[in-house]
Amino acid sequence: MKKFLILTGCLVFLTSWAWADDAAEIMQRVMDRDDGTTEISRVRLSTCPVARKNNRIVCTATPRVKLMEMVRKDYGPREKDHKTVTIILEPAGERGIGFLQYDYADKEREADQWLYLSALGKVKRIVSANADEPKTGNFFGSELSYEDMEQRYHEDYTYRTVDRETVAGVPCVVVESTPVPRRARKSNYAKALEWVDTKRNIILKSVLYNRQGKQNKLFYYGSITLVNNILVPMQIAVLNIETGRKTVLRYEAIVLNRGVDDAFLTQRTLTDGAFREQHLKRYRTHLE
Amino acid sequence: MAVPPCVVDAVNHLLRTGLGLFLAVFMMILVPVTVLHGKTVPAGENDLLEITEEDENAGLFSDDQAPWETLPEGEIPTLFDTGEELPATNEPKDRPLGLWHDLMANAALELGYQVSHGMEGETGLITHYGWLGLETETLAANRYFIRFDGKLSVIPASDHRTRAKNRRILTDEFLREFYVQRSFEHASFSLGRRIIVWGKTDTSAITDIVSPRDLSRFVFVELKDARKGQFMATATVYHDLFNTFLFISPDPAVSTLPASGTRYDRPLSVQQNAVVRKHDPAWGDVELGIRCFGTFSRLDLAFMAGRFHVNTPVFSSLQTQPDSVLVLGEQYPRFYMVGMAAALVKNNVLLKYELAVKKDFPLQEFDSSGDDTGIFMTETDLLDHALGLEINVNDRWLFTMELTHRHLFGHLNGHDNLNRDVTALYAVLEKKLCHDTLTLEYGFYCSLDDQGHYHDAQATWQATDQVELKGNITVFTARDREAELWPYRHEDRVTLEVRYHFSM
Repeated sequence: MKKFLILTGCLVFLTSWAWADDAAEIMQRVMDRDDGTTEISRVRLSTCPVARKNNRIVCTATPRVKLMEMVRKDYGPREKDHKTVTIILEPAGERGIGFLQYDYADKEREADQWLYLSALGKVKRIVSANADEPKTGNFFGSELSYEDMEQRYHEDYTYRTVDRETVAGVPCVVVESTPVPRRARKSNYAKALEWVDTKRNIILKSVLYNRQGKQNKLFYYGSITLVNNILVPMQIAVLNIETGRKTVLRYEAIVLNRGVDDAFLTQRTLTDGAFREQHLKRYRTHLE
Repeated sequence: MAVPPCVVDAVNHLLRTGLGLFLAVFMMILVPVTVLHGKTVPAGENDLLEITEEDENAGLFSDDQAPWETLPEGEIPTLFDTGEELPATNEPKDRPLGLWHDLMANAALELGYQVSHGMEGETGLITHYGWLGLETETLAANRYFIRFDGKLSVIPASDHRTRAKNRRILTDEFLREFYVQRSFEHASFSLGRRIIVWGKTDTSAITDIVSPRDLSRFVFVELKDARKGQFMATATVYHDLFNTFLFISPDPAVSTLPASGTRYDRPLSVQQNAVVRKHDPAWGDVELGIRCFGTFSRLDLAFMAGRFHVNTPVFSSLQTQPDSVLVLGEQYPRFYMVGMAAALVKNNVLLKYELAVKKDFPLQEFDSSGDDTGIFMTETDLLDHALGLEINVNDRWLFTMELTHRHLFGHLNGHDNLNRDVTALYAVLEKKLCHDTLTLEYGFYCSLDDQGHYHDAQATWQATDQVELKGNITVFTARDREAELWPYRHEDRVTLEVRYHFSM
């Protein structure tokens, strides 16, 4: 799903000429990075409370798991408008719930969202939280907040390079992103630190600080894989220090830049079962 | 604007009845949970979760993960593994072909149990039953989409429905949907038993009149079970701007009313000693309709028209037999509807409006003389409309309100028991807690004309991904004998429910 690639893509820096120290330029390149025009994926989202045990952070309760199929396509001259269909496969009680979301490059334009519940029997437009305040909702009750998954805009932040460190033995530039006042009013975060693998142009780790300036969330990007010649972290782990919970998002399967019909990314997919399954059957063959 | 008396009544009622106590407990839970939910873990506990470089290098989330290694130049790093093995069932697997197998593989099942207890008037168990629900769908032969959604309930003697029939046990089969569908590039066709939901509002039937309702449990019916499927053929044509949906139902179904003698059965007084001749819609009493719908930026818009049979019966006295027994006709007459529905979203507010003009709509009338034989049906034209509002308060609260109004046009035959205008208000406040696993909901319905109203407070807890627990309390108030809710004024009840969701 685009959301997840945004999550990673926003944090994937292009730094081919090592220590340029122009963090703003690096970030611009990150946001322009190719993340595929289309995406077909099956994603598992697992969330649990955690505790430290034997020097490891482990779940203290059975994780809540959502398994989803996602189809995304980019539009617009810079492919910054996104349309995404998400169908829930698990848990059984939520099977068949469908979401349709349109995100726009124009940041003045709020995303359009529709939900289909078989119990409701109709497509319902979803009303999102007020755009002028920090969003407090979480994606499916996970530790990924809606803000974490929003499209980021380069001009909403100031950037500076604060350090050079290694992560997993990989040399990284540590970039600090601070929201400008206009953005800060709407954000739950005072700043973010991001560890960028400058040779591979990808973020390996990030730390988000809350409005009080304390560490709030840690993101770890793992199993980074070339998918159709595009780097994709197949696992994203989020540790929320405030809540003592973690979420692991894992691509069970993903392909990029395969044909996706425009008609599939409409409300028809939510209500027309034959149309949806015919298309999904075709798309699923790419994942096998 | 003055506060409607029913709202004042409602507040008084909260203070006087058990609902006030319930809400107090509700808030006692809600407030601490809300506060705790928003608070950080105490500092000492946070320390446990602070991550050091050593932690990261040790493979943070895995018990068996080897430390990260410096990768050779040019290779893509695999940083860590969570140690969570994927269940084998989610791996792509070869399986034998076969429609039955596919239907079972895609099945979502639900085992449920409900018990409810009266709080006023006739107390004791009201409902006490269990069910197995099955919802499945598949694409057969790569072309034909088949969907099945049904439920089998087993109702022991302690349930009011079984008691009314003086049986030891009852079973109830409920087939919501069973149809086959075929889609093409710009069109889709289906045949079978389907539920069709029109309109944008959630609580009132302005244009949502295609599928009949299950009224046998009064207001205590799950949203999913509220509508009944009926046999129909449908076609949908998809255009770039507008889509068009058509249906034809040659054998329309009607709403299910409370069975005789059950808890929510409220027969008309004239029915007590009358002979009722039923005239249900039969094969050939065709219902048909068309709906055009589309989305224009932030606006969802739909227009619809059709010819329908009313889903609830209208009675009229036909004759009095020589032995003075009244003969009543129970009918489901035909009417016509033209309507529209719109939903517009702006920031955190969703506005909904729905309007329908219904021609020759049959209404129940009674002779004001008090003569029991004076029961009539009047066909009149009317306007139904509703204005709705949804506000998302920063993902913390969701507030929904709908105001519905009915206006009767034309001559009403001089009978004075029909109100020319009927207005009602429905409001719901919803709050999700504990990482979206606990949902608290408070609903309030009020008839602004007769001031009859009810409160409904509900807590739903997703204990696990499979198990859902629900508690619900509903309290009615009606002061006016003419109020629509007057016959139900003693039907306050508390309901507990557990559901277990699983797949094959």
